[in-house]
Amino acid sequence: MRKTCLALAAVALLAGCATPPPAPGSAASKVVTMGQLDDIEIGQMRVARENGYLTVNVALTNSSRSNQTLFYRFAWLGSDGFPVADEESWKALPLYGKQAKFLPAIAPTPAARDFRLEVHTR
Amino acid sequence: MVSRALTLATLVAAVQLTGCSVFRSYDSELQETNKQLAAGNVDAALALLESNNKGDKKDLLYYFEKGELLRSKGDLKGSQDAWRSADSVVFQWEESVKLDTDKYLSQFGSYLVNDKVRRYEGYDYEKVMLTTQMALNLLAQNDFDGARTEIKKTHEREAIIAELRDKEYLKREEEAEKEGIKTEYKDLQGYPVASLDAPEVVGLKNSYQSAFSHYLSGYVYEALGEKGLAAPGYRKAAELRPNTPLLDQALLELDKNSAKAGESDVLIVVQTGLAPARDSIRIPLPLPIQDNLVITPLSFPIIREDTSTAHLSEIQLNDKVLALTALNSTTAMSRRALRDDMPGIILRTSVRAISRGVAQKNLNQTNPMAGLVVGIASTVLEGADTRTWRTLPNETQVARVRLKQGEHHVSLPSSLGGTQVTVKVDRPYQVVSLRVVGNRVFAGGPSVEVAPQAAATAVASLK
Amino acid sequence: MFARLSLAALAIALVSGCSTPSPVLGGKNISYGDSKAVELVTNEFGSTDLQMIAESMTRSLAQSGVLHGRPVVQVYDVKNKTSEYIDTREITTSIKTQLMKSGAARFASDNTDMQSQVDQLKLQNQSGLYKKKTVAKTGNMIAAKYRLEGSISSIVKRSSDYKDVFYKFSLQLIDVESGLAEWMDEKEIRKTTER
Repeated sequence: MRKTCLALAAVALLAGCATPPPAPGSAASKVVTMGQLDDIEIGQMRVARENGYLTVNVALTNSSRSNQTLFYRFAWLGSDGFPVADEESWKALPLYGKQAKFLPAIAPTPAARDFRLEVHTR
Repeated sequence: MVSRALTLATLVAAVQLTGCSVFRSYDSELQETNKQLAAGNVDAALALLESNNKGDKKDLLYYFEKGELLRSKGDLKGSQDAWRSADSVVFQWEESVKLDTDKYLSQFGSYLVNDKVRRYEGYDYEKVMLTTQMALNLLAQNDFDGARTEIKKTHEREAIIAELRDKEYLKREEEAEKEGIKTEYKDLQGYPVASLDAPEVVGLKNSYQSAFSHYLSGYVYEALGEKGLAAPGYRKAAELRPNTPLLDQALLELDKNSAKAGESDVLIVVQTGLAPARDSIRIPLPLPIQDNLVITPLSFPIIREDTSTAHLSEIQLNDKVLALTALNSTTAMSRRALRDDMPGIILRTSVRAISRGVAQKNLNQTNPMAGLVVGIASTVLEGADTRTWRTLPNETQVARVRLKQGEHHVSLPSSLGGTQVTVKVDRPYQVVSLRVVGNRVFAGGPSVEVAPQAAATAVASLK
Repeated sequence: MFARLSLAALAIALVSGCSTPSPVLGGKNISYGDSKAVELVTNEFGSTDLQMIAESMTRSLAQSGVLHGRPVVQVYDVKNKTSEYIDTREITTSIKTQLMKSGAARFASDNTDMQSQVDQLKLQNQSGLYKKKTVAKTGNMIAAKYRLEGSISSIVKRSSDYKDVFYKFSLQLIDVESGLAEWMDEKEIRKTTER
């Protein structure tokens, strides 16, 4: 009886730990995973403003040994949090097994202040 | 009991099949029609075509032939309507192929029925030529935008055909291996192998891509100012017919801006003769029937070239000789189509003959009478498929010239009747197309006028 | 009794369920797809390639900083050096649209629009049909500071079980006065089909 109780508590704790809400402004808060994202880790993001345009560089790592294809697109948001441009087209990015890669992107208009990265595998 | 049921079934099948195209000799029907056309009796040719196709459901061939005959008559609108119907049949075929390629391929490989009882789907080169001819009809009326649509359809269709054939040939090789049939057309004793191995046949990349079709598309795109699309047209044509100065020139001139005011870029298209016929030839082949090799006569198609029209290599333009460049030969394409189909035809015909041989042997042992019936029914059914688009022009030749706007005179060599044609050039880009059968010249559209030719000679056997 | 009632109720519920207003008419096998989806139907030049090229070219050009103060640009057709029927004008149209939307540049009448533009000016000025005040004056068209031109080429290789297509699209912005290329970029695409 005591064991079950303990186990339950542990499970509850773990569940809580597994999904802490991403801190606002952190890299994870910018990523929207659609469907499934297998074996690809999204690391740091570098955000800058060059010649008036927001530019982003995202570090990606393929954690599996096999080749993966990542489907992705960016959504560009204005200061009010709403999109400032038309939807982007989906793009495919091949990653070899265990490869680390950088994914660069440029905002379509100077009005973009923030962004979301939508990702998806297979 | 079983054998009686089989007899009955065979009889029923034989009776039913007589209703369809089995007994129809497409070759002799069209020989008559073409004779009328060559004599200049286009109306009689059309009447003959109608009387041979009285049923309500017209097939693809009817629309093919009707469109070409109406085009010769100068009725471009009627021609376009007939071909529009043919185009919708081809479109349905295209959709069925796109949606389920595997299903299409498996029914194509069915061994049970003879090729000639199948619904006529048209050869690949006929599908490509259909929209090319439709584009010519529109160009004769200076409708370049309309022609652009037909031309775009032509190369999209070509891409579908290419993909389908790739898959089909792969599948066929696998099947021939499975059935253990190794006969090649080169092994057929008495078959005119040389006609299929001629350099102009082997030299083609495949049976359906036409250099003329791509050249015309380059020309139309150029006329519309779309150089980005004109370039691949000329480039593809040059790939299909290497070492043709006309094609290389077109690509070079595309980037130059050599148009002078008051001058037109005129493309003269001369289409001569008629497409070749398909005939049936019987060749005995040893087949393994119940472990015995039995010599069985089998029917195979052969290509018979049309001889109605002499070859033409030049025309006169304003009393100067103008050399023509050949860009398309239907005979070569038709031979190439047969050459590529031959392994499949051999496979299907042999497998069918073997299964029939086995059935007949079994029947003979139990019921000789039924065996006889099956034998008769199968001789009726055998015979190669002779259907093909026969009024389609055989050779397509072109010349491209810069002409001052105004009236010009084109005439044919005297060996072909020396007919005079007056052409009114009034557009920056203009296509003039002439159709020559026998020593008759046919042309349609507002800017071309054919001088009166000798009265049409009456051809006998008019019903 | 109860059973019969509930059956009737069920029937009514079913019927009313069927007649729920829906904005869809017919269409069992037909549906609208995402126009931005990655298209992998065949390995010929496709919609995704067009979108990718236009997108990466515009972003790169706009962000490069060459286009100060919305200069006037004349767009030339992209030269098609492949033997595939690629409508390159659609690529330039997309590039133009996106640059226009980002507000980075303005465009002069290009080759295809020029004729209509001249015709309209002539009509307004020479026909005498229009109110004088509203007629567009000739001699006020704005000339381009830059011209934009490019090309697309391909290398196609195939063996019995592979087909590999490599596309290279390049675009450059040239200062009309100096003739100097001020910006250049290219996009490479590789597509492979295995049988």
